[in-house]
Amino acid sequence: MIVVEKLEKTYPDLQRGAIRAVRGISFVASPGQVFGLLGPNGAGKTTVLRMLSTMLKPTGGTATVAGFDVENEAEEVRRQIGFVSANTANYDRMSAFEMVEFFGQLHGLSKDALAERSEIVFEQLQMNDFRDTTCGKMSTGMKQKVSIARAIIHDPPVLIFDEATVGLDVLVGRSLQNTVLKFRDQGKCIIYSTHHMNEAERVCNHVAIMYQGDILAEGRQRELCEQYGQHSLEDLFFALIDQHDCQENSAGLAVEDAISSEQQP
Amino acid sequence: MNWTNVKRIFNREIRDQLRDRRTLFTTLILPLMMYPILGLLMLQVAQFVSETSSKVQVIGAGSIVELPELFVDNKFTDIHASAEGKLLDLEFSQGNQQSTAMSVYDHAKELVDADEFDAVIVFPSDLQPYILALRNEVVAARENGKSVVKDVQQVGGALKADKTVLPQGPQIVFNSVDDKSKIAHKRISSVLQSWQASIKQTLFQAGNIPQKIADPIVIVDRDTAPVESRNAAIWASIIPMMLLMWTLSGAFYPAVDLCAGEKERGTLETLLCGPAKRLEIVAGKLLTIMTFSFFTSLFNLISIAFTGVFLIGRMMPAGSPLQERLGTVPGWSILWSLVVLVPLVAMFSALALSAATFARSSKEGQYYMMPLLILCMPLMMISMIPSVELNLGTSLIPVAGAALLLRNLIESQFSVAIRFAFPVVASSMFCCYLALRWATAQFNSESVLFRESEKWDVKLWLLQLLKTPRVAPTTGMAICFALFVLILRFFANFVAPDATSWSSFLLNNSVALIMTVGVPAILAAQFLTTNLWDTLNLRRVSLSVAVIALLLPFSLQPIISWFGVLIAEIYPISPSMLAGLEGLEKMFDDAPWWWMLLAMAAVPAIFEELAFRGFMLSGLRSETKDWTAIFITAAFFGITHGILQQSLNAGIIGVLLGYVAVRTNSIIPTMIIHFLHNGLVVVLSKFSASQEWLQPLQVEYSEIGTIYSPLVTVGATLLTLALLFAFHRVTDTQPLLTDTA
Repeated sequence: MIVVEKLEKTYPDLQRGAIRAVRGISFVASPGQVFGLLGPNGAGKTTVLRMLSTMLKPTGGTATVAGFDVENEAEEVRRQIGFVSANTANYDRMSAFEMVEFFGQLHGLSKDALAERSEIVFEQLQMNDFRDTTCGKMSTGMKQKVSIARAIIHDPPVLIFDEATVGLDVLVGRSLQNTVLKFRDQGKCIIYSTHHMNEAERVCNHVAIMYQGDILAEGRQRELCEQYGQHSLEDLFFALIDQHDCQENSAGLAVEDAISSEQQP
Repeated sequence: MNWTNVKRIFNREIRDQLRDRRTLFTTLILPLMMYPILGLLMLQVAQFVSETSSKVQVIGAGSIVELPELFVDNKFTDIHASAEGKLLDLEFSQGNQQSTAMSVYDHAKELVDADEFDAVIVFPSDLQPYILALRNEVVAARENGKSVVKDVQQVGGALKADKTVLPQGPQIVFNSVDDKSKIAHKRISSVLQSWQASIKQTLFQAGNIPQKIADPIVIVDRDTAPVESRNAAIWASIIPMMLLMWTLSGAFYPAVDLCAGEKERGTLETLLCGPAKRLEIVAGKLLTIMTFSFFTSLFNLISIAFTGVFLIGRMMPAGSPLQERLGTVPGWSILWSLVVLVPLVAMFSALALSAATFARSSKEGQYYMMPLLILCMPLMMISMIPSVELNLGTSLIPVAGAALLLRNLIESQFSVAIRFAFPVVASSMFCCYLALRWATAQFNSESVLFRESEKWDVKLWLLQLLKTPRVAPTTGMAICFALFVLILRFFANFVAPDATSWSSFLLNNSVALIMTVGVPAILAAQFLTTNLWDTLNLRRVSLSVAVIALLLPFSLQPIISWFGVLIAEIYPISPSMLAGLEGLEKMFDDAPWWWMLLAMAAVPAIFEELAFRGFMLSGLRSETKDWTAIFITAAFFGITHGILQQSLNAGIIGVLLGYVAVRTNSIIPTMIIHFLHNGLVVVLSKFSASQEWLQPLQVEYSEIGTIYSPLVTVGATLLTLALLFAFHRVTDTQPLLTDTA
């Protein structure tokens, strides 16, 4: 459903010159799967997901979503996905229903189809109590539900959640996780990025651990833990990062050694 | 583009804006309330000013008691004092009879300067004897049956020690810089003129001469301007500027909310990850901004018309002094202006959209409003300059053309307005298209849409520029470079000493050009990029290209001359500029031709090409399409030439030079063309008078003298086309080496 191959993103930065935010990563996510993209802040998760949702253009490699190329068939890709992120806010001056209706119309749903689909979505997400409340007056949990409703109104085969639980309280966070699991059971392909390991442990059946623009390890949770001899996802995560940092340091030292040995007669 | 999506986005944005009370208030409600309040305030202020009495001292009033009565009860008599003349508080002083005229004047000046009085009237002591003597002469002449009275000079002279000087009339001492004093002067003048007429009348009566003889000829003014145009004159110059300012701000407030505001609130990303294309989003937002801008203007117009018809019309009816002063506020006829506003609204909206998209936050967006307004202000204010008229030239200037067209419409000069409506609309639409391109580019730019709110650090930026040179300069570098060159040129012109001889003129100009255009280009290429030669497009070209470059300037010469004539027709050179140019030409009479060729052809050809087709074109091509780069380079090349007529000519040649540079990736051929083009102008101006062989090619043309005959020009055009075709065949668009390539 989602095939990413050697995807790269480099952008200029005043302080650090050119930054390779994503360094040629590859992975495949299938329908009925919650693919967890785990990593600390600044690992490049959001950049990858923005490229998958066609908001950013890759500077190298390819990615296809439901068979459509993110670079050349951007509009088609956007029709196949629902994108929920901490950065995608709702219109404060629109009610929940208007918001969902607007995006349904943009997706080209007919009036009847939209009405029918709205009923299902509002029922499914238990949003009927506040369907006419404007988003500006909603609680964080309500807003998040509206975001999800807006993203799934056209019933897309692919859903992308980018740090969607940031800022939510435990109850709302748990409810969002349950919603994600329901979507998984409906056979949707879901990419779920987070830096909370316990959340990933509960929701994702397949994970990729990202750090400094690279994927350090990727596979089924249990298999990965066994492979690296770790008990939990969190242990695995720290072990991989330590290992990566050690390798970087030793590589740096090796380069320094090489330079100093060259300078010696 | 899916128009249904555009409509959906438009509907949503409109609904959103209508729910925002702040936008509603500033764009729609404020203009409705503003004009009636402004009108009332103006009326109050005008009345306040006109009803203040002027304080005036009268010196020597006692010496005119035998002349027609001027004062009654310490005031001017009603016969001479009109409504305005009654607003004078008089204080009488006899003055010192023995004092000289000069000392009385000094005393009066002191009084006015010390602000004790707004004005002082001085009646000289010999005025009355002089008039009385004149009357006696007139009576005597009548009684004695003489046909001619004694010479006025003689009568006056008899009273004076210096017999050649006539006695002075009353003096009004005032200060024209002080408004109150000026008003007092105006009021006193009208009274004294009326008094002067009655003195004249008594003299004529004494001589039994009919009054009509005094003014045998009456000059009659017949103003062809319709009454409504004359009355609307003041308003016609102010209203366009106010309307344009409101149109711009009416576009800006929603634009900031729709773009920068959405970025800030995080809703833009929501929209971007939806199915709508970027172009559809831009179109939807633009239409929303246009709607608001249009309705702001419409509400302004309605409010102006309402204020004019109901408020001011009632409060200062026709014929009242206030109406005379302020004219009639145009009524419903100004609604015609809406026709012009549509393209302007589109242009301002697109501009506002681009600026607002560029901003990271609403606050930053608001900061851009002022510079944009200030940039447009001089153009908007053109309608307030009485000598600037709507013609083909002014109608093509963006904003200014529209302001002038609006003025004509408000003055009800529809015949002129209709003639130039098309060029105004066309030029506005063209600007709108450019602004729209810019806005779309902004929406496609990741760095603009996802700019982080980090603080931009000049030091870091400069360090990075110098530390990490690029293969080719960026578009930003090219634009900054061009602006830098423009500023340098401006200061160079500012500090340049006045040339006294041809040698100092040519030397100053050449040094200035090298230092302000050439050296910056070389330095920029050296320090900002990895390869100086490639950045400046200094590459060898084939022999065929060189041959075409050698021939092109000759075939272009007649076409460019005619183009110059066309430009001069549309934008005539001002007489002062012509005089200046003639002075220069005279100065060059003594200059040797090779000196002129070096300074006016070789130096510009080398250094302007290094800068424009070299550094700037490379930079622009690295991120924009070739033709966009060519046109922007040509525009800056034109602007650096300073004088409008020259700029237009240079701009056109700049396009050709840019095209040649892009096709060959080299400035060698453009240097050849540039050198020969300038060189031909120099050589022909120096020698054409003595070259008889040129005469068959030329014809007489109005004031400019001779120009290439149409036949020669057609032939040259065909030859140019053939050369360009050949050039196109032997070259191919060269890819530019960039960091990403």
